[in-house]
Amino acid sequence: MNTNASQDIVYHRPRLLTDNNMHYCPGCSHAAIHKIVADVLSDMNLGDNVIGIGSVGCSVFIYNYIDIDWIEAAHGRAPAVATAVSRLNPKKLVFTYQGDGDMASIGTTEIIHAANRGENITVIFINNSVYGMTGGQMAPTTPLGMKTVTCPDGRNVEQNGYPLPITDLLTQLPGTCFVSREAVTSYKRVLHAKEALRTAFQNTLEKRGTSVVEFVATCCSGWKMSPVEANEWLDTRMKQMKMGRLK
Amino acid sequence: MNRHNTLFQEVHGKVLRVVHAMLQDGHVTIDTERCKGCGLCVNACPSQSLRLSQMVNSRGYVHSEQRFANRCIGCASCALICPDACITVSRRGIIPHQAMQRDSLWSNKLA
Repeated sequence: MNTNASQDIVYHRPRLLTDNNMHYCPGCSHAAIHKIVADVLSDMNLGDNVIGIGSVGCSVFIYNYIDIDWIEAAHGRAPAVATAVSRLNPKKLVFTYQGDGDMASIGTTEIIHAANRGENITVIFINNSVYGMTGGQMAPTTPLGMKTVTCPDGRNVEQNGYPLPITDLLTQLPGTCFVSREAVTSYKRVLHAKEALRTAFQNTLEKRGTSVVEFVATCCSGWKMSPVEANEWLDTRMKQMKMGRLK
Repeated sequence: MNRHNTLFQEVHGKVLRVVHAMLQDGHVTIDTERCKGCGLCVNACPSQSLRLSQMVNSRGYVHSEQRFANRCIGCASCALICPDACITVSRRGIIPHQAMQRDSLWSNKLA
């Protein structure tokens, strides 16, 4: 079972991930997306040249896991902080990492105006369609008919209104240069997501405008499913969405 | 003739792939202390060479382990999907992960 020296390493832990054990639940998409972000930053040799803006939510401890410079923003205000950081450090790559409770709910103003100004930032948006950190309550992005703790009969239009398609809204703004919707439910989607992230970071380095990468994610604890079941459910849901590059 | 040619190529390709898979020598190292036993790697493995162990690690999680070491083809599907990055994959010969990235349909689309 010992690794032969003549064997080629196909995949190893990304260099920029720290040795800390992540606090996420088993099978959480956040951890997989952290890994992709660290992998892409390692591949692009950007470790010393990047500033990340963390947000509030399950990913609030991201600074413990990815070994780059981080600023922790107030709830929903990561694009506003990223605006200041990117304007003051034009040579650095600045990106925000936000969940749907942070970006699509409390921080809708900030993201729409930052994208409309065309700030040179990359926005990584994790959309798991519930408030995962507080126990799986209904979020603005919860699809119609989905059962959560606060809508046990499923979300209906009369009482809760329509889900907010924030990524589709951002595609219509002239300030965004790249909008993509990705997932991490299979190795193929992981590879596609890595390409999308690389493109987004490259656009930011070339100062083309705001790049948005939405990850359709799972929340096994909030959805009350096993990780494998959650991925399968998400795969069926993704057939109704437009995946890949939106703009 | 043409039809036979394409059929031959198809069969030939399949046989080559099977032989290639039989000769492949992949190897998976799992950091069992980091593993949380979500089972995504077990589900992702195309050759069913992984399973969840009966043992728990020091944090109380059931961890994944290699059930049939000689079945591993070194495709790195498990490592790519593992949320906690606890799988290292090595393999003799060509590297399918890099080949996939180089030839992927997606990279052309996004560029």
